[in-house]
Amino acid sequence: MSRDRRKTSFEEFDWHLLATALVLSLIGLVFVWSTTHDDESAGLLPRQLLFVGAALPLVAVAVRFPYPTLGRLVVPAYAVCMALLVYQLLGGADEARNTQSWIRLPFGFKLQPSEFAKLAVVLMLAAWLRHRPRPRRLVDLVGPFALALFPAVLVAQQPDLGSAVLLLPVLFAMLFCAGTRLALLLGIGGAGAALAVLLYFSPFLHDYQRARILGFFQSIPEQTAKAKDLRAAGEHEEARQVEHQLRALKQGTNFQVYHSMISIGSGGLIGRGIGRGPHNRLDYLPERHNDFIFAVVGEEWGFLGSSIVLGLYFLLVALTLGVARRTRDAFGRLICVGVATQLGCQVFLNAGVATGLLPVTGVTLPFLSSGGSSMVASFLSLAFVLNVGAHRVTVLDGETFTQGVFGGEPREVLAR
Amino acid sequence: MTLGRLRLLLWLFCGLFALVEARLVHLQFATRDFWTSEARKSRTGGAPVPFARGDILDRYGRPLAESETVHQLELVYQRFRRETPAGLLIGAARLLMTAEGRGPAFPGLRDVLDDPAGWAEYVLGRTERTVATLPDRTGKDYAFYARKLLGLRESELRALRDERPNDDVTFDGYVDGAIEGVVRRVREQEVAIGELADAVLAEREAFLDLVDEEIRSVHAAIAEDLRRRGDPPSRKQRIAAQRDHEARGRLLERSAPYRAVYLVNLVPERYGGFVIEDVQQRLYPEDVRDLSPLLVGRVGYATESVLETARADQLEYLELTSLPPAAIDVAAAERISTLQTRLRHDHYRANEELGIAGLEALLEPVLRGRRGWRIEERDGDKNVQRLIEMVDAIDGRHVRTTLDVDLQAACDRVLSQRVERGALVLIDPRDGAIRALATSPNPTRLQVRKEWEQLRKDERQPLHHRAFRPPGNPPPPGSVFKIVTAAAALEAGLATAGTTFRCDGTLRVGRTTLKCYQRRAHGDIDLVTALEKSCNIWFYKVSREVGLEALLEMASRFGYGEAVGFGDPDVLGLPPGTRSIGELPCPFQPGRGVTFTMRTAIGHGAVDDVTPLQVAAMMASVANGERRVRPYLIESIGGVPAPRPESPPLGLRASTLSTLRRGMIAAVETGTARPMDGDDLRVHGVAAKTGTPQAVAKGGRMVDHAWMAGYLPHDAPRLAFALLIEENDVGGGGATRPVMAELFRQPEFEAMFGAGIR
Repeated sequence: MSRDRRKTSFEEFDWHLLATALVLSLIGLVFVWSTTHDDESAGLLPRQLLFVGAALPLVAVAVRFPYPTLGRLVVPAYAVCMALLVYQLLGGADEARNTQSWIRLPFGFKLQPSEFAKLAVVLMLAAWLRHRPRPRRLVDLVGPFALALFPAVLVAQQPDLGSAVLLLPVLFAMLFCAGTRLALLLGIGGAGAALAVLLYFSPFLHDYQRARILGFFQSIPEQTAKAKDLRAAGEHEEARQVEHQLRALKQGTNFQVYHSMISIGSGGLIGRGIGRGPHNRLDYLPERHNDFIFAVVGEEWGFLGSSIVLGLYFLLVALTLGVARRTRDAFGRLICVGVATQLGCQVFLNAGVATGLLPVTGVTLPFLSSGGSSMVASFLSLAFVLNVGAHRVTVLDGETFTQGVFGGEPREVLAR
Repeated sequence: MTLGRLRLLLWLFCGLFALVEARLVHLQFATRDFWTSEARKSRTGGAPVPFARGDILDRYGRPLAESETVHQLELVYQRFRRETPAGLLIGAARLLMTAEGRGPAFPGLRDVLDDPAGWAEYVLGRTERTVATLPDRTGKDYAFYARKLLGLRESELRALRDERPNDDVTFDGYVDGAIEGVVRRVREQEVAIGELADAVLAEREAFLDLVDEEIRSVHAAIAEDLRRRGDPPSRKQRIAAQRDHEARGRLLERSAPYRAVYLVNLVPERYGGFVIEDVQQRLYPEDVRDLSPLLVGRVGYATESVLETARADQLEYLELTSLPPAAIDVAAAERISTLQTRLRHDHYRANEELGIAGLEALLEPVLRGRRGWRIEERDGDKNVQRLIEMVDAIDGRHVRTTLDVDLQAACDRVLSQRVERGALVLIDPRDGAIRALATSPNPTRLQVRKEWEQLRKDERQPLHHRAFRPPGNPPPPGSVFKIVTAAAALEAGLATAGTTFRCDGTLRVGRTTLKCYQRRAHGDIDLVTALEKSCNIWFYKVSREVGLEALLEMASRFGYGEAVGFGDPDVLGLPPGTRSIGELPCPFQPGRGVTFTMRTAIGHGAVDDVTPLQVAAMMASVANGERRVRPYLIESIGGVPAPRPESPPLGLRASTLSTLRRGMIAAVETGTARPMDGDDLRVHGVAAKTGTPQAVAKGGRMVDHAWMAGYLPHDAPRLAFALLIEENDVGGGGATRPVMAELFRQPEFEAMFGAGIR
């Protein structure tokens, strides 16, 4: 029986998904080398190799045990993550880039708990929603919201706004797929949007904050052209004002985005080639091996390369959702939905920032960005999806659900 | 139903990724050119390549003014404040005092060195309270100072401040210990600055004062700036003002010795805030530094009015280049390129040296080179990575003058010792090369630079180089002009060497009585004797026959009324002479009166002002005999011989010349310049004519001036000279003879002519 199951598992194992992730990490290795190497050293490449190398056995192990078994660890894992986040807030974190998002580990490694917290929230929500399907009342949502918003607030305090914001779409997507009444979700979403609009016009926002939001919607090329046209028309005073605004769009907090757009824009169709992008080589982009690695992809591989990378990510999301579609078990399906949403939104947020679509929030590009926590957490998320794909669980009755998560051996039956 | 929702989710992601993809299309295709040009613009920058100003050399190539690279020692306050213990204390104290509303008298280096413990206590002792009460940003700034002073990382600082139970040291306890450390580091810094002071050969105390003063002036400049920007200044304005004033290097030592360069460049962390800047600078070699600074001139920095044109061009350039490409037609494109060239290469920049007086100013277009321009690729930290393009600088051309440093030095020396006010000119009569132009008083370079106002107000008018730019009312030539009168009479055939007139000491013309010098009666004398004794009556009498027209004609043949210049503007020209002959004012119209002609004949009247240079040129013509000698000062420019002034034939008969020369030799042997008191000009073979013109000085009193002009040796003339001593009651020969004798005794002349010439 067990032999038979394993065989089937490997037939069901989603090699495409793993391959996609591996190709992305390979591309990541290339760009980590490109952004950090110099004449003498290979930069962060060995470290990054180490992280990928460490993540793969972890994937193998995580796939080996059926996910309902692992599911028993969800609550402790969630609790540990929350504890780490709280510990960080109380000052146990190392100061890096003015955010307290790291915890020092031996041998100079650093742990970024928020990366793992994202996965923990997904698992926790899946476990919660698994036996509380189809919430119909507002009260039913209190639990999931609390589970997601508690870490979101903690992470936002670090301040790592990007990771915090990411938890919202994850929550909504999982609620959505758990069969929550649409009216309920639309109502909450609508209320949130209305609140945002109100906040914009409220006296709580400073004028400069409003200007920043508005400035965000101004396109630098268009404004430049406008300034030139004003000059041509002899409206020098107005032109000076526009030029002043333009300068603000290129400096300070906008510096990174401006140079990121320069990098991507000057990449053109095929880019400058690996390690040949002048903006990369000349150190114009802070954090380009990390949060802004997509800008370097854009500069060195151009439109084709960045489209391929985006395509791979979309494939990753689509395949993950495909696993969700094939899974009848609500727990497994929700894990897939959560991971897909989390990865997809993180990619969208990262690429959106790099291309100037979204305001600056520091999130990594999964599998590509340099950094161990992000790499290991991404592969771990992937492992759960692979696990869900490989282990088919059907449930005979509601009791098993409860037992599966909160103790007791679930009964596994192969489903065809 | 769930499957439907999954599909919807997939579509949603499809939309999100399509959005990013669309953005990529926008960036990488639609606006690609814009970003590519932005990329290039943000990575490249231009910088001037300095040129070396041309040297001013004497006839043998010995430098009067050179260009050299000097190592300036500068203080960059920003780095001093951020990197050194004393600087950190000053910066933190300033921050706290500003937050408390105190100031603008912030502590300087002196205050901190006098009481480092006190200031450290002030800055650090209140950290806990301060950080809690300061506004957010100021608190952050303060944390920077506290961290640096305590040598802590930010987290450690916070841990200390919050007095974590785990830590066995309390914050106050830690700070108490740290203050000692800060004091020790401040003392170490004091020693380092002291070493630097030794290296630049300055008194330690004076050097500390200088640094202190510069720091205070930065504070003052920032305060002034903020006051102008409005009240209360925002944080942004404060930062902008600080950046403007703090980042600029402040000059401490214009030319730092190598030891200082070595110290600062080798161990920069020890001398935080001190930097060495290499610049091209004008240098006047020490041995010739004070040789006629008024002649060589000086350099200064471009003034606002000079920079004005550059600013206007800059503005126009920026406006033109910010036009859309479609609006830039051919004419505009040309204009842009012209402006760019001018801004990069031609316009003066602030801190650029330019000639503001004397030859430096006159020769500015030649001495000044052309700035080069380099376009570089820079990295994100503004470090130069690669040279993209460079237009080399063109150094200024060296100018070789006709001056002889040795002779000039001798003239300066004698004049300054013997003559209170006057001038001395030496010309080579063979071609007109000016060998020396000396003036007295002769202010030193230091005086000219530091005491300009006093000199300007000084009654002796020391800022005029009297050899070619006499102050106010220039003295008339007086009797030295008799050479011209004699030549006119001889050439017109109205007199010969032997023509005799009677001198009774006075001559009555109508109601006017004209006198000989001191009413001495010479009796019947001929022309040679009249020149020898400088008899006025002889020349009065002959002038009646010669007439004013012929006198002036002969005067212009000797170069009177003609610019002697060698450049534009003609600093060595003579506006006075021009007026005297060319445009005589109405009362002195020719033919107005016979006494006017007579007075002209003895160097008053129509020719009543002249420069020593002109008189020397006249004597050079007499010595030359064949051609009219026109003086020139520029031998060659950049190795190319400078165009010489044309020298037309003098057109005097040999008999005329020999008569004039005999008269001048006689004057030296037995006449007005005859040996006396051991001063014998005969040994040098001098031929000379003296003069004692009278002129109205300030206040309406009549004063005598003294002239001697001539040449030597008289059998083969190699130098023509003219000496003027202003306001002197000894009389022409008596006053000038000892000065000339002294001059010819100088070692430089003995080297040139041999002791006791002939």
